[in-house]
Amino acid sequence: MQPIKVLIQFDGPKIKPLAFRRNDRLYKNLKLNLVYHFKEGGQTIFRFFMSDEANSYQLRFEPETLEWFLEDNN
Amino acid sequence: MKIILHVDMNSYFATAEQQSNPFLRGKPVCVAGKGSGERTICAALSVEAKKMGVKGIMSVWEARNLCPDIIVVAADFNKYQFISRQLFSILESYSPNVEIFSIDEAFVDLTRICKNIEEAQNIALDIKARLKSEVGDYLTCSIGISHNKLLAKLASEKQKPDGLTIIDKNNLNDILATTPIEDVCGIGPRLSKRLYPLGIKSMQDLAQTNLQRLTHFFNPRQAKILKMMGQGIDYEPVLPYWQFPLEKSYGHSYTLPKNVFKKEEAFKVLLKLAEKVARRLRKAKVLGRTIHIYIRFFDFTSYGEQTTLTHFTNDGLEIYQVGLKIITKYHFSKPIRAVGISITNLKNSVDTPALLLPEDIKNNEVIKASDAINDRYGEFTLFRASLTKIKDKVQNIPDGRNKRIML
Ligand SMILES: [Mg+2]
Repeated sequence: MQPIKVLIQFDGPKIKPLAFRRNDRLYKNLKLNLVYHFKEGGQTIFRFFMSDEANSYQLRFEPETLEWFLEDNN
Repeated sequence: MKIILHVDMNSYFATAEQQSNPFLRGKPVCVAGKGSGERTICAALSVEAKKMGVKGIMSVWEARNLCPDIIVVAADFNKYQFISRQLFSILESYSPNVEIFSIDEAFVDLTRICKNIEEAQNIALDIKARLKSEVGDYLTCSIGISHNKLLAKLASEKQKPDGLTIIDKNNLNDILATTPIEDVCGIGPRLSKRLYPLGIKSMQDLAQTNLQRLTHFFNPRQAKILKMMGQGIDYEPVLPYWQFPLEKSYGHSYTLPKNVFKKEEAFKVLLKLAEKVARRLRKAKVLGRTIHIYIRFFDFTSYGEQTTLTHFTNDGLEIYQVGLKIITKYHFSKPIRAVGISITNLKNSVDTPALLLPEDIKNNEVIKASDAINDRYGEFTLFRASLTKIKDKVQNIPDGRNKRIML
């Protein structure tokens, strides 16, 4: 799991990642396939399942600290 | 006449994975239980994997042998629960009477909502469209509509994936004549085996069997229910969650990292599993009475036994002790591969009579407080003094929840 910078689109109460930067690489033209939230240690965590032409990505958002992470998916 | 709709998600866990990762779509996918070791059992399979002949009871290793291209992904139960909740809330927008039958199945009573089956059919199409637009575009479900739960469920199974089947007076007789008895919810393979020797193969055969003849082989109550099933008659009401425990059973199982020969090794896992099950019961505010212990051996054979208590419980120690008794009296000759525990015969704990004895009230308060602490700091942060001796022997089950706090 590594921290990433994310460009977000706000649509009313909904948010959607549009692009993210990991190390020096920019990942854009992302498609949102599924988003869900769950509780972990009393904190709500959001998971965004995204993909581009080449890969799929699992993004993790922690609302308490407003941090974003790229998770290892399988 | 009632109008009942039954919704069943298609290849649920696997399709949910294909929804979240488009690169899995159209490919054979196996959703494995915790961990992705070769010993894990396939928890769910995609349509493509099923077409290759892979079966749900196989281990990942067996599945790979049969279908080398199979993609194994770890189960993500948070994901499945979340999608289910979204589906169920869509259903609840049509009727307050929604019975959750399993994580991916529900009955909806549309009796006073639809004037006729055609109206229910429109709702079904609406549900399918909303599932795609509001939850995920790759998800599909099969829907059955009929005049009772038995036939609605049967209807939803007639066409997979993405089916919509109606059973009414126009096709009822055809359905009864062509449906094998093992396809009927509640009969299953075990009961079917007892019916075949009587020449009963289809629902219609069952319907036409003399009740007295059935009572030779089954008790009168069973015989009557069986005959009704054959006729497609069912008076069971749709029970919304506020009248019915959310799940029919609570259980946990664990595949050991390696085969073990000693019973004691199984005991270690058992306590942890019992405590987990008890915690879930308490969280769901339900109590259970029948405790089922399940041991799976290296050769895929299994041993299971259940005990029904005289009272309802949600106490991990009590569940563990019952399990212990079951395992202790059984003589194992083969290495053990997995241990499971489940509890059924559930009821909502809210309607148990209020605790009257001061020590019961105290005990209850202590369990509540320790649950809260363990929720926050992890399993076995706080535990019973009576468990100190075995606490260290508890198998550390690597389910990712040990470091992280589970809720
Ligand atoms: Mg299903």
